[in-house]
Formats: sequence, C-alpha cells, structure tokens
Amino acid sequence: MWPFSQKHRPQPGKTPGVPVIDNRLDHTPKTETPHGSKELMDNLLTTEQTLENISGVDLALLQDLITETKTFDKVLETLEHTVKQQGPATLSIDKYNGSVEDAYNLLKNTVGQSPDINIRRFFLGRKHRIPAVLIFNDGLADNQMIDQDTVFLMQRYENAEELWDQGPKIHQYVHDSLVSVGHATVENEWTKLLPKMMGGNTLVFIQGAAEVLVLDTVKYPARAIETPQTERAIKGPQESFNEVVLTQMNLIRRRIKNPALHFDKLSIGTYTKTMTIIAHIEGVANPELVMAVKRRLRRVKLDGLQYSNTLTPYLTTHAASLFPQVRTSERVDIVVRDLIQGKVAILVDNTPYTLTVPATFIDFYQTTDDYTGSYWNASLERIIRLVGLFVGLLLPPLYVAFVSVDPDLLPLKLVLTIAGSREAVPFPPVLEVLIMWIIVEILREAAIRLPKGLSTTLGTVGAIVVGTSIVKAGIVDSIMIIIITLTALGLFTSPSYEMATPWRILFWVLITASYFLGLYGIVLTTLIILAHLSSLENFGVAYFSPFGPIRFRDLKDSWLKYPTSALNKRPVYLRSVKPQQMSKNIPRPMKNPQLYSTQKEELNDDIR
Amino acid sequence: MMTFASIGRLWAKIVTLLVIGLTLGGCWDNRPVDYRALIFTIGFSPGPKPGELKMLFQFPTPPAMAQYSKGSGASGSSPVGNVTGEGPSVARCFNAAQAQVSRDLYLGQIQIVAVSTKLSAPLFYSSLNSLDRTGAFDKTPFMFATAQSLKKVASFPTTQNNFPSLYYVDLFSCMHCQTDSLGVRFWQFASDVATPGVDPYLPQVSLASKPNHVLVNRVALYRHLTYVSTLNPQNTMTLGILKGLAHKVSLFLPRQQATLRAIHGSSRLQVQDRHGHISAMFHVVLSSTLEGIGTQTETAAQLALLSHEGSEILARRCLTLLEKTQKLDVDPFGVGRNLDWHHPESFLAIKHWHKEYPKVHMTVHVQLKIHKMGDLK
Repeated sequence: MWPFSQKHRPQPGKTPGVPVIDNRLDHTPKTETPHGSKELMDNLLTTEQTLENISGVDLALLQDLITETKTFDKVLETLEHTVKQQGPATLSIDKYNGSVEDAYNLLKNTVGQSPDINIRRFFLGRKHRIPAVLIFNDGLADNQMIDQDTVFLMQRYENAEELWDQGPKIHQYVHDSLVSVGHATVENEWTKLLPKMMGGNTLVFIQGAAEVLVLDTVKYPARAIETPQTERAIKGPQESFNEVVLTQMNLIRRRIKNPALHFDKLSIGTYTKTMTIIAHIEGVANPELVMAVKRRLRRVKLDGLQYSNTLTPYLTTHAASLFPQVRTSERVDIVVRDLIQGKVAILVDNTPYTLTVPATFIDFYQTTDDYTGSYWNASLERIIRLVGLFVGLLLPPLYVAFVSVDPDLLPLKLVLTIAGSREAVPFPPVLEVLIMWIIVEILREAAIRLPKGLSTTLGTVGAIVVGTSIVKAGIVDSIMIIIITLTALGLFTSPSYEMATPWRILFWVLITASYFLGLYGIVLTTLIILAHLSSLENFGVAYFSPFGPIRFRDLKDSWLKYPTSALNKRPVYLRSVKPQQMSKNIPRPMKNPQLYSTQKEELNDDIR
Repeated sequence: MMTFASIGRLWAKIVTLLVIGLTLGGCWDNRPVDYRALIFTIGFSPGPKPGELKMLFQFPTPPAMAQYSKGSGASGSSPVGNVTGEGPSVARCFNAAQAQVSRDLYLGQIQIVAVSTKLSAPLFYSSLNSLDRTGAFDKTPFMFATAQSLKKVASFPTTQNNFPSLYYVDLFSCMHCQTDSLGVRFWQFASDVATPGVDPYLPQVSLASKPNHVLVNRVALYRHLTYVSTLNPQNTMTLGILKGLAHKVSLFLPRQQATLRAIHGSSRLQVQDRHGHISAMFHVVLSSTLEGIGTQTETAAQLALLSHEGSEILARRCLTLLEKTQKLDVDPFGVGRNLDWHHPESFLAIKHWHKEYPKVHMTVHVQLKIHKMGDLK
C-alpha cells in the first residue's frame, strides 16, 4: 500500500508540537504536458487502433515509437516540474532540492525506468514518520547492508522528532547516529549522485535534508584471484589481477606496505565513469613522470573506457609505431617490481591488465622467472629469447633470399639439398612461405578462439595436416616445414604477447624485402627497424635504452642478467629520485660458522 | 607546418631512395634455385678452330639432386649433365651452351675450374679475364689442370661422392687429408699470375685406366699462363715440402730399413742480394713419425742418425727440384717475389726475372725431427 496516501498522511496542524511536514506528495502535480507531445501521442494511439484492424501491418515499430514517446513525455514532465519547484532561479537544476517527492519523481521517470534500479519509499522513525526514498542498483549493491544496516535501523528509529529538529542537517544526524554502513558520504548534485548509485552505492533521500546520503554498499560479483594466464611463470607468485580495481589496489598494497605508495583516482569515460588509478611510489618515481602521466590521462575524453589498452595512445608519444611502448601485465609481482623501480602504474577498473610506463624494448623480454631463478638461468633464457627472435624473424626471409635471389651464398651441399627437395614443388619459395604462414596463423587464431579441449585436438590435426599431408601432397617441401615450425616457435618465445605482434607484421615486410632485394633487402629492413627503435621515445625515455643510447649500468639487466648484488641501482633511464635500491655489498655475517668445534663441544658436554 | 613544396621535396627524397634501393645491381635476379642449372664445374680447352675456345659446363641433374636431398644412393644414370659451347669468347661459348639447356645456366655456384694443359696463354688469359668479370662468380673455386679430355676428367664417377665436383671440392678443401695440400683457388692462381717474381702452378688430374681411378699427385707448372711442364709425383711431394704444404709425405731409408711417415712442417724462404748475386735459402723444419725400423727397436743414437740421413736425402731432393725449375725457367716458389719484398730496388733493377732465376744460388737447410711411436715386437 502506498504509504503517502491520504489515509496515513499526518495532517498538518492537528497535533501541536509535531513538526509540520510540508506535504507536497499529497497533491498530484498538475503539470501540463506539453501540447505537442500529448497530441502526438494521441495521434499515435489512434493510428495504432486503426492499424490493428488492418491485417498484414507490422505494429512493432509503431509500438516502440509510442513507448519511447511515453518515456520522453515523462522526462519532460519531470523536468518541467523540477524547474517550477526551483522557484526563483537561485538553485541549480542539478541540485537536490530537499523534496523526496521531487526526487522520487525524477528518479522514477529517468533511471527508474530501468529494471535493475530499485527505488523504495519508506518512513524514517516509528512514531514520527519522516518520508524518505532509497535508491540502489540491484545486483551491484549488497542487499543485506541495505536491509539490515539501513532500512531496518531507520524504520525502527524512535526519536524521529529529535531528528526533525535538525532541519536541513537531518542527513548529518542520520549519518552520525543511525546508519551502520561503514563508509557513508553526502552529496547533493544529481550529476554526481547518479553515477555513484550506478556504481553500487545506495542513495538515501530524506525529506527536508539539504544533502543526500551516499552509502557505500558496493558489492558486485567479481572473479577470484587466479593464476596468470598470459604470463605464466614456473616459479614466483601465481597471483594475477582481477577486474575489480579495489582488489588490484589491495594486491599491490599487500606487497608495498608503505605510505609512500600513492593511488591517485581519476574517472574516465562520459558514460562508463571508469575508475582509473595512477599508482606510484613517492620518493622513488620521478615526480615529473608522475605529473606527465596524470596530465596525459586528465586530457582523455572518451564516451566509454572498458579496456586499459584504450588509454595506450594517450600514454604513447609515437602512437603510430608498431612497437608497444606501454607495458601491459596481469601479474601483480611485475607491476610491483615496476613501481619499486620507479615507474608509474595505471590500474583501470573492469580490466585485469595494468599499464606501466615508461616501458623500454628490453622490458618486454623480462619475466618473473628471470628474478626467481639464478642469474645464469635468467641470462640463458634471455639469450634463447633473443635467438628465438632472430630465428623467427629472419629464417624464412633468409630462405627466400638464398633460394631465390642469392643462391651463390649457399654452401655447396646445402644448395644441392635445397634444390633437390624443391624439384617436385610447384610453387616458388615465397609462395611456399605464404601458404605455410597463413596456415599457421589460421591454426593459431582458431586455437585461441576454440575451447581449451578442442584447441588440443586442433593442434594435433594441424600438426598432421601441416607436417605430413602438405609435404606428401607436394605443395611445400620438407625444409619449409622445419623453417616454419622454427619461425612459429621463435616468434612466440617473446614473453609478452603484445611484443609478438609487431614482429609478426615485420616478418612480412622482411619477406617482401627478401623476395625483391635478397640479402640486401633483409639488411636494409633490419637497419630501418633498428633506426626506428632507436628513434622511439616515451616520457623522455629512449625506447631502445640501454642499447641506444648505451647505458652500461643498465646493460647488467638486459640480454644478460648480472647477479643481484650488481643490480644495486635503479635503471638510469628512469631518472629515479632514489637511484640506489640496495646496498652494494651483500653482508655475510658468520661466513664460516664453526660447526665442527661446536658439535665437538656439545658432544663432550653430553659425555660428561 | 609542412608546405606543398616541402611535402614535394620529402616525396622526391622517398622516391629517389626507393629507386636507388630497387635498382641496385643484382637485386632483381629473382629465380628460385630449382629453376636454375647450377654449374658446379666449368672447363676451358682449345676449340677445334685456332683461336677458339671450347667450354664445358657441368651441372647436377634434377633427379640426382632429388636423390641427394633424400639421402639415397646414386642411380644408374649419370648424376651430372655436361654441355659444351664453342666460340671465340667465354660469352659466345656460354650462349652456345645455354641454347642446349632449358634451365638458366647459373654461374654463382661454380666449385671447380678445369683447364686443359693444351690451352694457349692468350685464350687462358681471356678466359680468366671474362670469368673474373662475371658478377655471380665469387673467385673461390678450386682449379686443376689436365692433359686429358676435360669432359672425361670432370665427369669421372667416384664411389666417394654422388657428384664428381663434390669429390674434387672435398679433396682440395681438406688440407690435411692429402700427401700435399695441392688445392689452388681461382684467386690464388690469378694472384700468382698477376704478381711479378712468381709463377703459378695447378694440381694436375689424370685418369688411370688400370685400376680405374683419379690421380691427383702431380703438379702442372706454368710460366705466367703458359703451360711448361708437369712434375712427377716425387717432385710434387718435394715441391710440397719446399712450400710448406706437405702433410703425409713418407720416406724410406734403405740403409736402416726404416720408414718415416707423415713428414710435415714449415718452410721459410730467405732471399739475399750480395753485390748483384742473388741467393735463396730454404729453411725447412720437418717432423715425422718413425713407422718401422729394421732393428725393431731404436735408440736415441739411431734416431739421430735417421734424422740426419733423412734431412740429407730431403735436402738433396729439394735441391734437385730447384735446379729443375731453374732449368725450366719457372719460379713456383716465389723467389723473385721474396726478393721484391725484401730488396725491391734489386728486383726492379732486373729486367726479366725469368732470365735471372736460373742464376740464383740455391741453398736448402732441412731439419727433420723424428717422433718414435713406441716399440713394435
């Protein structure tokens, strides 16, 4: 039953001493619907009735139009009413005016149209009842907190009269003494209130209050903290970020328990209002770098921000470059390591992939395992990655160059083997590479899209088709199978997925160059790539550092990894305000403990 | 801000760079290796008409290459195809040969250059010159001379390799496999031809009828590009010792019934000009292994004696060879070149080195060291 009906409504002036509530809920607002829309709707309804009698006419479109017109009519009605209620134009239309009835109407006719938004009217206080309205997003807000910590307490409150005496400060009293929700704030601008409600907060409108209570009841379903899928590590932590930015912050905070860790909040996206966090460690990261990141992100004007990668062009000086200049990672330990190095991390709500800037070329070839194993192991693995890159990138172009353009550079026995194996092949080498690589790319794409179980089958089928049948059919020669297999494996030795993409594209450039210009073309293209890499710069940091410009100190953690004791300083290119990250020498107290003499003494004691 | 003029200039630069890049020599030579007839051996001999050249182009046949890549043995048919071209120049011979083959005759993989000893110096010169100017030719193939039919020698089947050219390449490229490392590459031969004070030489290949095999144990001596003579196998070994190319030379000492094997070592030539008298001294330091001796066991004194005797015999042989070359007016040891290096004014004063070479006073010092292998009982 509607509690604001005539029957239950307290009559003003009947009970002395009882505060009189200006009842604006009682009378139905006699707002005049704009003539235009009313007439239009009447016409539409008449038309619908007419058309219903005519068979073969699709009425769905007309019905949609009528529904939209009704909604529009309501919005106009609310707007008109709100404007009228403001009286003299001293208050902004964006401000809550203290009337729960107006708030109810506004909400009901706007966001209330949506089925996931719940609006509830109730009375604050048991005896003396003050009208109130509560609105929350069903699914994003914790129902238990709303029921038990908010509505239940407010409805059962005994001293509502005392509350009423607070006048416009009534919300403050409720905030301080009534609701038991941990985090509550106040706000009175609709443009701020509605996004907060959409994010899972509960809004409580109290009659006469100047502000609206914003209760933090946010609780939405989130994925558990799982093992990283895209950056696997043999040793090291197995935690990855999930989609909730708060959890992301918690995971970082758990590892950096220092007040110097700063999280600066930013809301990006006109519609999505995505919470974006800029994280850095004060006293380590260069303040100029932090400021530059903030300035760049503040300039982002987007309708919606769903993925962290959307911000990449704003954080990149050379956005057209093939090479990734912002590192993306779902691994908590990598982001924490970057922060400790003096980089800036950008966490985006609803995306488990965090961005870190500035990133250099070598960053994309460093993994967690490099720091969890011995430095010998790390160096070996990095060299294998480099060899993998060269093999993957250059093997097919070299094959095309040597077989098609420069066969004079091949050793005698190899040229005999290649020429012999190609005797029955109908296609030139470049076409062979094209066929094989297209097959590999199709298999790769299909393996990603298919469910896990099927992708294994696909791999087997692919191996049979590619490895056996295609050679037997005489479409490609057996050497090409070896080359393409090594290429596919080599290009994916890159630990970072985004770094594999530019090489896959440049692979084609090299193939084309080798086809037309032979070995000269490969050398020329490689030089162009190196020149491009050397020219890239982001946030004042050379992308090809420490190779170009050469930074001898940083070379200790590049393709070769030196022992941890040698990495006592932060990278030069980051220009950290605290260059030293550990003491130079590892102290070794009790280097040679006297185990034997201690044992002997103990044994002697026992004998005695 | 970029103006139209600056954009135009930028485009002009880009186009110029592209054109330069794309028109570089050899860049458009795109033809897969299986579309080419890979010439492994090229041969030069005098043509039927005077002043004409007869060239041999030998390439592996496609079925033989396919079998080779699969690792299977040789088939019944010949693994190589031979085409010959005759004409006054290399280009004409090449055209004549190309007309007989459906595939592109490719000169970028030449491994062997065979030369007939009957080839006249002018023809040899023009052939070398033309070959040198061929773009794809890399000047590293081995050369040999033969007095027999080039086609026969170049196509002679061996049991050791699928292709005859592979046999010769393996033979010449393995320095320590032969008695003397006789391999001469094209650039070495050309260098000796062009350098005053030294005469080139080539290993000479001959086919023995009984038993049926290839013999590469002699050296053809040239005076500039004119064939002069061929050394016998023993002199060839001695030439190897004097040039420091000996690896598996053996020596039998009849008095002690001793056999020395694996004689190898270095040789140093010292040329001096004493008041117009030129003298050349060869310091040869050799090592060898005692394979057997009549007494079954050897003593230190015996070894010293063997060493002394062996040194004497080898020194005598070397001197004989040197005298022979002096009689032939051929300087394959580069005595004149050495003189030019150390006494250029003396060498420049000599008008014709070939007239001076026979007058050079030759001395040979051989120091042979013997390693015993243990007692054989």
